[in-house]
Amino acid sequence: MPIQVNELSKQFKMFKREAGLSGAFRSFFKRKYETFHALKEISVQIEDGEILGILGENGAGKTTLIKLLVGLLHPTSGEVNINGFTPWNRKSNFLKQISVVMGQKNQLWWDIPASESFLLNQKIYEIPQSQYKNTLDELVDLLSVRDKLNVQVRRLSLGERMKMEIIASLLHNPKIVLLDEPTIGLDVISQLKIREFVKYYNEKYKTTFLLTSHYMHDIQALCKRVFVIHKGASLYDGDFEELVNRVNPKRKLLFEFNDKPDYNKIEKLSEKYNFHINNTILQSELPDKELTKLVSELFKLGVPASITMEDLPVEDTMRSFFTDPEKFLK
Amino acid sequence: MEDMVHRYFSLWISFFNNSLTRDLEFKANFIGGLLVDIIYYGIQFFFFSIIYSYVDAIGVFTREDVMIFLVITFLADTFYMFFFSGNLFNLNRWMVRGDLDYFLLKPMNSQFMVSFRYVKSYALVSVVILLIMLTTLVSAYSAPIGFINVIAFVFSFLMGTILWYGVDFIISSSCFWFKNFSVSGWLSHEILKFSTRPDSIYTGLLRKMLLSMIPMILIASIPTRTLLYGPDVRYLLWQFFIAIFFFLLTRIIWKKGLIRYESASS
Repeated sequence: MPIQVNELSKQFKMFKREAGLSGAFRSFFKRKYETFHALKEISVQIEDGEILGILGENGAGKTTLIKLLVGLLHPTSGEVNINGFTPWNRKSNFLKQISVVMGQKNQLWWDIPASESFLLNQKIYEIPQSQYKNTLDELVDLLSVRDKLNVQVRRLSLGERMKMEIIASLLHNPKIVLLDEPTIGLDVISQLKIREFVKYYNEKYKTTFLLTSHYMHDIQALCKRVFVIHKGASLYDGDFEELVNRVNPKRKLLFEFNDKPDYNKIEKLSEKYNFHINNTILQSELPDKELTKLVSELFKLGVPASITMEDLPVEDTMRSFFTDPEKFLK
Repeated sequence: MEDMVHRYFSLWISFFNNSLTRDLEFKANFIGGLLVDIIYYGIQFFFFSIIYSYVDAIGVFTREDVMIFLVITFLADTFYMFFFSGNLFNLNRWMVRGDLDYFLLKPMNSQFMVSFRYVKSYALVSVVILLIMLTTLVSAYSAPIGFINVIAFVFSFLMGTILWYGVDFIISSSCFWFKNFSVSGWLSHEILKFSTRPDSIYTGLLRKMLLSMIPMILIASIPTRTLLYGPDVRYLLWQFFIAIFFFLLTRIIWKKGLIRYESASS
């Protein structure tokens, strides 16, 4: 069990000020503080080689959890054990086993080529030359950025920069990688490339990944299991598909008849099922079981030219989930 | 221990290489930095030339002494700038923007990282020029300056640099407590000005403070006295004691600060 989190809580003391200039003056002389509970008794266990998605709306506590797991923050209470280490003790041997990629921050030197930052990381992580060369060769080829190695970071596109950030974070072959919004702001192709890369890397090296992303396609493509945080508290820990089904169990059906069906029979069916029909094309969004029943009824009405059944867009499903997560998980 | 010294020295060399590569990218910045130094030195020389056109000496410092004192002051300033100022001056910004996160995630001493990561490489040119000036002035000095004086001066100068690092580091680290203390760099800069005047002008309580709590006299005046008038063991021991004290204080404050660190939201 590489990561064990027990009842982890983090509180911040926040300065509270009244609005307006008079409020600013009053608070200059007399400050009011309030305690913000960023995380409330979070417990989670993560297995070796797992890719865990951490979900939650903005300000839910995802990044705070990641920062506690890598030892950037000290908790108010609770414990974290990562391969026998307590992260906030920041032991070198622990820091050599982990890595973090933050989509909105850079570890690379801005004005010089990424290759120079890689060499610096080689020194910092004490990576033997042959291992460094092999790892770098593999990563630049996988992410197709060999021709960009000697270009100043500031001249790279956002996608290329993110790929370089990922390379910098994997040069030392960490056992645990925390990806905080790694695809934020990237175009669809770059998002896909990074997803494919993470999947490949995880399968090949059995590296544990913790991923936060607002792009549900990232989560869907990479994470079997998700951990949902809502207002700092743990809300769901389990299968992602199961969560999606729980939020929206419906699937979409497109049934195209060869010839126009009998409209009397169709009208009868519409009393039992919810669908739209336009000439020969019938569309419906229903839970799986009902949809199967509807399809068998439709077969009785005529031969289909084509049938398509698909899941509803996961982004839409999860958007509605985050409007009121507690409602769906009661 | 030897391995650790070798590792950190080699890391510093890498920081220097990256900083130099970066600084050479921007020719105007590189040359501009040198120009700023030259203008600053020129103004200081001019200021003291005016004073010495009215008086023969300030305390024990004659005009000749003050010229050497000024070069030592500039050398201390430039030496400090070369190693530390590109880092500590930015600590508050790194903290507020969350850039500090990546520094803290590296498997190395985080205080070393935030103190040495950016080297102001152009300052090396100034250091060389100032060393040449100092050697010339010392060779032409009216009294002989012995080898012991030079050795003791090097020691005293290094202690002064450690002291200045300690004071600047403590002021900069206060951002852990104040959340945003962007004036820290300027506050340090103003405090440093106490060290750019010969110590003879400070008397009474102010002198006591500048020898202990805000030990600015120990940065350039004591090294100058050591070089020109010979080592005073009491001053050197005091300098050593205060330097060690301030350095240990930086370790404690850094560790306490890290516990309070809240990072920045993503």
